[in-house]
Amino acid sequence: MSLIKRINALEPLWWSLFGLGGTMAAFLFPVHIFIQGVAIPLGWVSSELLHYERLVVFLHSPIVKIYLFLLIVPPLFHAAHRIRLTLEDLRIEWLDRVLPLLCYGGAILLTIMTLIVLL
Amino acid sequence: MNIPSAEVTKTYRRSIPNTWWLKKSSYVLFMLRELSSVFVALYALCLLSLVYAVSQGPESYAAWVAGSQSGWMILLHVVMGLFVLYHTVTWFRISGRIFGREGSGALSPAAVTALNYVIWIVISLGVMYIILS
Repeated sequence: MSLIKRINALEPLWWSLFGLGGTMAAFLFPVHIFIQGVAIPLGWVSSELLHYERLVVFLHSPIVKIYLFLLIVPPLFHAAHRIRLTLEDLRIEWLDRVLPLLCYGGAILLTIMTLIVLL
Repeated sequence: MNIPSAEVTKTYRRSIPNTWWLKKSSYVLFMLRELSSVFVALYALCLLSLVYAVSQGPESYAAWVAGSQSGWMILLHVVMGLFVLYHTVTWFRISGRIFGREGSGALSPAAVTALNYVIWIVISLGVMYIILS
């Protein structure tokens, strides 16, 4: 069985991660983008919230680590799956052979990086 | 006239130009929804870079904070925010179609979507409370 066929055989897994990641992003990304990316840099809320010492304490908590893992990793698989299906819809023939590998491979690589950074 | 070989005629795939989605506004909206996933991935990478910067010590974290305060970075977050909001809206609509049922004793698709919005607001307020307190 070719590698691409093996990847395609895991479709239920990719779809589950797509659904989980889409849900995480839909419910949690807007508030995080608003606070971290807009409200704090523009000084709408106190910048002390992002003090280094405060974040270090925050990141030591196992609950925060698990939360961040779920906030970062499933959305990456969500994007990988969606980008793959959309580019296949665009009918770029030469891309189809490498697309599943690039998308899911990239997401797996970033998952490993996230684990290394968090642990 | 050239005669197509057996290999070519075995499976006929009608060629579709890869600009097919520009033909109709609903197709364009579909593509925008799909494009939102690129910004979802981008924000996941932003979060990863934040955690990485903190793990590398106070100097790298200070550099990350300085970067996040640049105008371009704030603009990028506004754009990411708009695309992610579009993702949220479409996701809740699909959720209604998947989990909603017509008829008594069941939640209609619109009710499921509305419930999603209520849960979303509660979760967002909860996250704000935890981060800001």
